[in-house]
Amino acid sequence: MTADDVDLRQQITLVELIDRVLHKGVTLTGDITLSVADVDLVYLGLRLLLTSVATLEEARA
Amino acid sequence: MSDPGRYVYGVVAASGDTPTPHECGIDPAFGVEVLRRGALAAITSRVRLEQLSPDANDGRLAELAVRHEHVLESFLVAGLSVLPFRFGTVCASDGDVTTLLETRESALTSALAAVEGKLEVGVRCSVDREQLRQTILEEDDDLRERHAEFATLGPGAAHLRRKQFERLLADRVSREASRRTAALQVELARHAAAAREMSYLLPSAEIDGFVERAQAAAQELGLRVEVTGPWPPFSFAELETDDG
Repeated sequence: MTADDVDLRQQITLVELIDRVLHKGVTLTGDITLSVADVDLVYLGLRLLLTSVATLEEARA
Repeated sequence: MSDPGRYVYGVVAASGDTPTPHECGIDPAFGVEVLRRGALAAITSRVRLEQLSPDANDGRLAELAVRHEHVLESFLVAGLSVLPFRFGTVCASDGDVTTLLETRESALTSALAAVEGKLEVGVRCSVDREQLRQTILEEDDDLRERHAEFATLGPGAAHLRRKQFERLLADRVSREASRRTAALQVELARHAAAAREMSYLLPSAEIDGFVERAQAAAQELGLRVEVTGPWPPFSFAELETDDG
């Protein structure tokens, strides 16, 4: 694998991780929980990461 | 400064050997604690609420998500089945955490049973579009004839025909890529305990075999796959809505 391949794979893994942790899994609401963090907040750095991985994947295909 | 909250990463079955990993929690000031109630145990750590503040810098959310994942993985590594919670569940106190385990006991128990001994694998699929273009050109008589027509036309007419041709070809390529991806999904779903989009729930012992099968099936379909995981079973972690 080239250095680019390794880098892309690591980025894909990170995106997959973040997608699962932020959007999947058991969600609870109610009096007992203080809050469920608003994961739809725009974290610009994260958006750029997701966009750049998508672009890298397309370029590779 | 307010009291720290109790961040909940997920739920495991309570047992004598529930490990306390040395993993640092979502807040580096506090370690991971397991709070038991009956047959269930919540994986928690204290968290200063400002650590979860959206005013924290960019990229912070990614870092927090990774920590959340690593805590769950430390329990998987210890051989336990884990019901993952989504990021951001915080209770006010230990008592509230155990109350949560009590009031949702039935739903949590069912949800945990559904993922007992199982992990999740992700399958990302892509196609070599250039290669698919070539294949379609070779095999599609209609497109081949249209392509041959250009040679007989003058420059203006050929240009328009070419544009139309390219559109038709691109459409064919997209549809064929979708067809093949769908075929792969159907094939892989047959060999998993459950499937959600491109995530597959598998008993731990079947993961290696599944990955091999995914590579082989993809190759047969002219697709490339990137298999990710195994993951805690996030995509299959849900509570029934009509619990107590």
